[in-house]
Amino acid sequence: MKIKTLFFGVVGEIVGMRESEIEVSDDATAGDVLAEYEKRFDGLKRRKILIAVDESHAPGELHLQEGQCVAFFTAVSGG
Amino acid sequence: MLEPICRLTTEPLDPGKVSRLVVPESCGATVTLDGYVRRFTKGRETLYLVYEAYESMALKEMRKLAVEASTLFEIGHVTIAHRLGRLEIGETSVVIAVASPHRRAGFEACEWLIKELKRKVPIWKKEVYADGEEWIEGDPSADIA
Repeated sequence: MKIKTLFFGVVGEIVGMRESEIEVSDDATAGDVLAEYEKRFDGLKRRKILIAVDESHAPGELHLQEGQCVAFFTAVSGG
Repeated sequence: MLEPICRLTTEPLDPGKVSRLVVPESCGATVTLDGYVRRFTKGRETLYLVYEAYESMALKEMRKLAVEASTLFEIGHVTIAHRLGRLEIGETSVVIAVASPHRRAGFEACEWLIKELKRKVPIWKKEVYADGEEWIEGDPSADIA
């Protein structure tokens, strides 16, 4: 299935893009998608990456559905 | 509680104006936090900051916090505004204004809101120093998922 992906802050700098799409297996979790990007971008492994699915904070174990949007970022630092 | 106001903007924030956007008749005080850019952090000098947000999610999270605050504290209205883009030293990055019938609830809610904003709202800060730059990471142990 196809998943839309977003990258913010330092994660965006590491992967060199702000958004993308990825094809993953139908039983993939949000963490599986992250692992896929970690294979392609070594720099991600040195960071603690957090995940949001469809604009809500989500654990890596969350199972995804076709067309969902998964965002990756480090711990937030607004304020 | 009245409908909260949550905003993201690249334009300068005026804390006085933000705090007076809503002045409910049921309230008697507004506690306003004016967070601004600090020049020195742990001895290192900042030249300027850049804030980036996952805007659609940040607005949702800000709204959720405002609604949750209204269930925890006796307050009448919440406004949360956060600046994005490049900010110079001393410029306001965040304004949280809480109107309440009595001041104590306003102070408590304002403190709770900034703590939760720094934990949950997807906004990131890049510090630009004289000798380099760095994306700041919040507390990675915060359990938010």
